[in-house]
Amino acid sequence: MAGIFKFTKFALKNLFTKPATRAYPAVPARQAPRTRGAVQVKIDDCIFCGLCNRRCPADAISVDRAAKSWTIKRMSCVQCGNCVLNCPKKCLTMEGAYSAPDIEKRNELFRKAEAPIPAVHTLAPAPADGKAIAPDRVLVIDMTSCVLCGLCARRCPTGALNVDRAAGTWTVDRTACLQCGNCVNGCPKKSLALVPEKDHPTVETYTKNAAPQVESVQAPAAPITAQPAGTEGITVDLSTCILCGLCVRRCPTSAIAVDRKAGTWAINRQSCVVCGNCLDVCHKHSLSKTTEGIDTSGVQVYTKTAEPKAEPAPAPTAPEPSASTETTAPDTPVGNGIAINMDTCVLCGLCAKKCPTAAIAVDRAAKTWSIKREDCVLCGNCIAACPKKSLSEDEIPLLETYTK
Amino acid sequence: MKRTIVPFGPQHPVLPEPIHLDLVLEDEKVVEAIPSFGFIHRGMEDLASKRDFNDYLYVVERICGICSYMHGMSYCEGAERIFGVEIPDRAKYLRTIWCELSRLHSHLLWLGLLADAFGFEALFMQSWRIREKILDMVEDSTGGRLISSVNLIGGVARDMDREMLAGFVAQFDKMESELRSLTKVFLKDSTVRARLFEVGALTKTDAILYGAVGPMMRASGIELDTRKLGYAAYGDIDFDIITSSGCDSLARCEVRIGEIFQSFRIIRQAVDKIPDGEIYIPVKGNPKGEATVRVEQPRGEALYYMKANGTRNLERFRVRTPTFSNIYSLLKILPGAQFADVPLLILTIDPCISCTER
Amino acid sequence: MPNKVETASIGPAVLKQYMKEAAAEGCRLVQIHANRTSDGYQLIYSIASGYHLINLEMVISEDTEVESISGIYPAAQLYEQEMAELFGVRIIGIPEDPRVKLYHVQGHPMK
Repeated sequence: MAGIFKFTKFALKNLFTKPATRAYPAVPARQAPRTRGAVQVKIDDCIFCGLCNRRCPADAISVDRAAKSWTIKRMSCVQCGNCVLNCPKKCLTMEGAYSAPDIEKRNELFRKAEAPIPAVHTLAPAPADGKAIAPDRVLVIDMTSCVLCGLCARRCPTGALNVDRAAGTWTVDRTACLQCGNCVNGCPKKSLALVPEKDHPTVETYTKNAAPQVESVQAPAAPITAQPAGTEGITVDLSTCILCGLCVRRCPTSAIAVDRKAGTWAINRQSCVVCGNCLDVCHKHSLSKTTEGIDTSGVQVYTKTAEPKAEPAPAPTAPEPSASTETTAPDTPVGNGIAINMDTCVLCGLCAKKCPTAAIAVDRAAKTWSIKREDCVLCGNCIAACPKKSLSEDEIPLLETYTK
Repeated sequence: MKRTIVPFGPQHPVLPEPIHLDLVLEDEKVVEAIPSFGFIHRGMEDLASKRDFNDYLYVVERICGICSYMHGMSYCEGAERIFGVEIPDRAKYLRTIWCELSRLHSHLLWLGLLADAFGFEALFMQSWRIREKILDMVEDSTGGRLISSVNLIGGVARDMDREMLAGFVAQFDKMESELRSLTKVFLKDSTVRARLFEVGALTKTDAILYGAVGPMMRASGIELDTRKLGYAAYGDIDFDIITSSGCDSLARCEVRIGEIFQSFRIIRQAVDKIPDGEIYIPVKGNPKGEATVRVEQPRGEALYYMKANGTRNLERFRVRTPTFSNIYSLLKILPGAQFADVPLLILTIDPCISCTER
Repeated sequence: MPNKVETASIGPAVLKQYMKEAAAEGCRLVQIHANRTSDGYQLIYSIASGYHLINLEMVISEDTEVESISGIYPAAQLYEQEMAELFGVRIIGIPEDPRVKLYHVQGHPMK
């Protein structure tokens, strides 16, 4: 039913109530405890990881790791809070107040003060002797055992170490060193140690005893280091070597090269620092250190079923084919290979996962197990991995696919 | 008869968002309305393939200021369906409460703008005075008045404890009684009624053919409310679908006012029934699959289609907002109307042009 | 209440017939949109009967011409115009007023 003067009650009440509006900015804006205002940063806790930069949907934040600065474009920020949510150090907060209005678009830059890194930072677990890392320790090196392989420099999280093989020096930046012990744990020669400060001067550069440089015929990949004659070097026993290439992957100076088709194992003596990583990883125990037959002038190539010979060639080539045990029959050749018993095989795929050359493929849906014979190096990893003991090494017709 | 063309918009005091209409008039009667959109097209659908899907949530929230909460919630709901993740029950109830608060603020905003459209500015002020209390509630619980940024894929980021919820409900009684007096003005006052009654009529068959959704559709007698699909916690909550057979602007006003009181009822039930528990479960990995989500925005049914292909960015994100559907009805109810009623008719569909044009 | 979305495939030839039958049953058109595929488009027509939603997927190449259904559902006009403007889908038969352009964009931005 229509009526008149329905609004009168409100109009009269309005005469006597205070305004619903707020005279902002003369009166401060209403703030709740959870109000999302301007983004603030605790710059001392910031590690400049840049996650806030990547997560900002408006691209308002930029982080400069080298300059240790964090910048925000106040006019681009939409106060969504994504940066606050994602900061791993929780150093970002949203204060209640909005950023003050301004007449120009400005960026706000926060920079970390250039203070020395406090010694309480520890990153790696304690060294093998079980004692905790104490901040009053310094890093020292025994240059007589150091082989300048550079593994310590690679493991250092702050880049405090520098190894110069050409100059024979090992340098530590004491202000950047966190005494974390990563390098100590990683040194294959056990040349590094963290010792009480009072026992050692804070020298920064250590030099190995100088030795005459050997001129090489070709330019090797890595800087050369002198290896006088009669030096220890790595050698391989090709009767047991299966040319799997694990030593290649582990060599920190990329001194080793393996050519499975040609049957050769080659080492660049100029690059090899005899760190022994390859020895540790070879599970056929084919590698060893010896002082005999080591020619340090360049690359030494060992060929399977042939005499080891030294070549000045830069990369290992195949001068003669290795003796093959495969027949050249057009039908399935018979030879030494991985055999599978498909009755016990459950197609779990563990053999495929363990194969270092990815020669095995397991198709569960099609119930097939297949192997690329030319890639298989007979390392035996699959045999060891099979939970059903379905695999073995045998003289068999070398089929490539087996179906259940 | 001589025809005049009057350009309406994009800048106009009564329009909440820019839309341009060229009104062809014969004397004072509108004969034809030629629309021109695209003033606020920001290419947000295209942006979906360029932003990490977690960060894109904050862009989706900002498609519109008034409907912001449900855009964010539906995006999260769609992503959760693609991942196949079920969020905790407490998070569902919290989302329902915030949805209804969003509906309350939107309908009160609309009431105010409608009053402004026919010149009753004092009524506009009173409606928004009540709306301020709702916005304060939203700010207390989420941190932002309109854009809440409180949804995450896997739940919600903020909790509302028992005290806070009880505090909100305690304010509802006073607000409801104020609103009852206020809505009586809208529905019973003779001057308001004269402006609204039998203006902008849309019959039931036309409503289906022209694709009207939401209160436009319900005011023409079609009883459909997408909340009955049962997303969030709506499956456990009892509420009525408000319809009217009036088919005109007054009927739409009735429907929206009825929905305001239903929202109070829903929030009260949700606060009673809310279970304890987690509010967020982390979701890892990249999404792969597609999902279609339909929610009931204050303006009507909104449809969200998301397609993901296993990378960090979504392949396709499509929003069909309710105003996009209702705009066609607007173009059909304008011919035959009086020139002075044009702002009223534009507002009767509850236009949210930012949503329409993304 | 049913919340499942039903998906079905449809070809351009049967589209109009299907829509006529749907309109006769009282279904309403919910939306139409286009997805870009590697060599064409996938158009999705969504219609609803009560609360039940059906997504009709139509895969076409870039040059296929699709007939407009705005004769059956006038609301389809806006959706088809949006697809034509943003994606470049060829839709014939939209009762288009040349003065009406939905988005003031150059070319087809989402093509």
